[in-house]
Amino acid sequence: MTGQLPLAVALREEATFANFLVTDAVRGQAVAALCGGLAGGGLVYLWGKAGAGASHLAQATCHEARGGHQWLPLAELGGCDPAALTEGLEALAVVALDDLQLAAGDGAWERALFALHNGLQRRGGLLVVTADRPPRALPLGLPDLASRLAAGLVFHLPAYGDEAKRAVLCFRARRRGLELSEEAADWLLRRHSRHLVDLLALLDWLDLEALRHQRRLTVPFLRALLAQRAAQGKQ
Amino acid sequence: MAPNRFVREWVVDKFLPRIQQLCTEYAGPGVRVVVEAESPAVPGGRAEPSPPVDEGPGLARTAAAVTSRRSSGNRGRREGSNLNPQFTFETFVEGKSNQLARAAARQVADNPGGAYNPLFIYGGVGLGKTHLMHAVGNALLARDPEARILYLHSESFVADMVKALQLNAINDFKRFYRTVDALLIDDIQFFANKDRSQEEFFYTFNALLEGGQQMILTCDRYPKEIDGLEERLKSRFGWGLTVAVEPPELETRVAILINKASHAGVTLPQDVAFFIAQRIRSNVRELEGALKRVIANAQFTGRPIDVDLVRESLKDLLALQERLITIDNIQRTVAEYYKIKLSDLHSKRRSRSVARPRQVAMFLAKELTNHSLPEIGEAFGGKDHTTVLHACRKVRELRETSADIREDLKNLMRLLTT
Repeated sequence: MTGQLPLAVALREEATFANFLVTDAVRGQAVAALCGGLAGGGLVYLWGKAGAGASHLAQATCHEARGGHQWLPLAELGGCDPAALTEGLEALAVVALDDLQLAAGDGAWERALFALHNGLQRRGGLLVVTADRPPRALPLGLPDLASRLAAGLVFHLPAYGDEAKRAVLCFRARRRGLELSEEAADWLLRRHSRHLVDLLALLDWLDLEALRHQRRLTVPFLRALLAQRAAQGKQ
Repeated sequence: MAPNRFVREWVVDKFLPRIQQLCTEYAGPGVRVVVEAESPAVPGGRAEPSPPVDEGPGLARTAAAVTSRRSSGNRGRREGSNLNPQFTFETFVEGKSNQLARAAARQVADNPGGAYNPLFIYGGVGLGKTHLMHAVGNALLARDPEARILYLHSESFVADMVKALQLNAINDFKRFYRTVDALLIDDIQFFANKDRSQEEFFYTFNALLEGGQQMILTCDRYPKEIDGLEERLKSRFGWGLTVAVEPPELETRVAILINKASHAGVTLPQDVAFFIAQRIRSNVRELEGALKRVIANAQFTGRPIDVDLVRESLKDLLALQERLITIDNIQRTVAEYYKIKLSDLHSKRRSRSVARPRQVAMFLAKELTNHSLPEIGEAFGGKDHTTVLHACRKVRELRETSADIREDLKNLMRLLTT
């Protein structure tokens, strides 16, 4: 078993280490810790605001897992029975759980995670947890779980600044074989969105448009494309 | 075969009628499709403590482990025991806070099934209860490689029992648990309000005790304080020896940090260990997490481990701690704890019911914050710094002589630092 449940929770293909730009020391340490965990197990806890890259790294770790993985994006698993969902997962090499804050305070989830953590620990697996706040700030009802989370390697992924966003955007464009100048990336940041998640989603679309028009992503081309899109959106 | 129960239910719910329909179309009406959940298999050749299972329940898994251990020698015994070989007496850092528990555990390891049966270790999370329990198990196994030791979390016991009931295999369950040489059950507070599990555990407990087999139990509180637990169990837990593990004091925290760093191949300077230990007081797991973070930073940046690096590595944790531990918060917590008014702490009233809590609050403010004596005095309604100094001395003195004050301080520390 590859550990992938037949749910609409398939790993994002592009969420790999190769597609992750290390923009600062903390992110570098987090990547190093996750790679170390792939070999030696343990618990890595990544927290930060949405779009800081925690989920990307959690999924990247799953992509690299040898010996089975499971990604559990809690936002998409509402209504599932936690005990049934996590049953047997302790045998996997990596279990990544996104948005732990959504389960904090839910007794059934907390007990299931506690058991999963203990099982993975015993078998040398790696548990990657992401959340929007540090372990101590989670309203957990199970002190045993809280203390175990605190014993892991905890990294705060700071929000990306404009410079880092520009670098990530250019990097991801390059990875797709697109040429995006810093000037063009700046223009997108100013005129489209300041949120990296939105910008990266836009990049998907720009990739297709650049291919269709056989054009480079220059500022005039971007302006024309986005104006066209806005006009279509109004119709 | 579905990888687990959840997938099984999902497939049955969403796809089974269609699969059944297709099978009938292709193979005729006599074919019946059954979806079953399998137990976790060994993924990618990773090490697996228990042997592969085909029946599914944890009980079968554990029972199979015992059977296979009989033929596979010491390695099998250790693997089936769930013991962590890292948790030994040698790696346990002893201090005032855990001295008694360690001594009792050592006694049990030397004389299993003797006077200290059951050994009941209680205390807050992350203070080393599980470590001690494993240490006994490992010592027993080192002395007798054929001994059948079983460590498990109480929830696993419950899960095994539920599965045994579902599979009509409760007799196998009973037989299995009653034939181990030592049964080590962690966090028995999770038995609370699970009546059937308590009943089964009660009989297992009696059988083991009668057979002279050792039992070690851990819990986050004193047996009598566990709500939702049958009285007969509470009373039996006290038949052997009950020992507490307290939060480690500063010197022990420092020793733990240095010890853990050394195990990670890192030399931690004394001043750095003190810096971390003075700020992280709640439990050993949090100390461990902080140390890992510091080491990760040092290894990534290639910088030596000094106080600056620690400040940088732990800035979020320390900031959170500082936000939680303010004089205001200490005063509120102490007032609430002693059920007095906050304004009493600021007042000049000198009756014992107010003066003692005020002294305790001043002592905690000195211990837990970086405020100076005059600043603390000011925060308590403009008291002189010598009043604060006197309060700190008085509380230190009482801590040595009064069990009540010791208990109060322990509870207040826990409230403020976790």
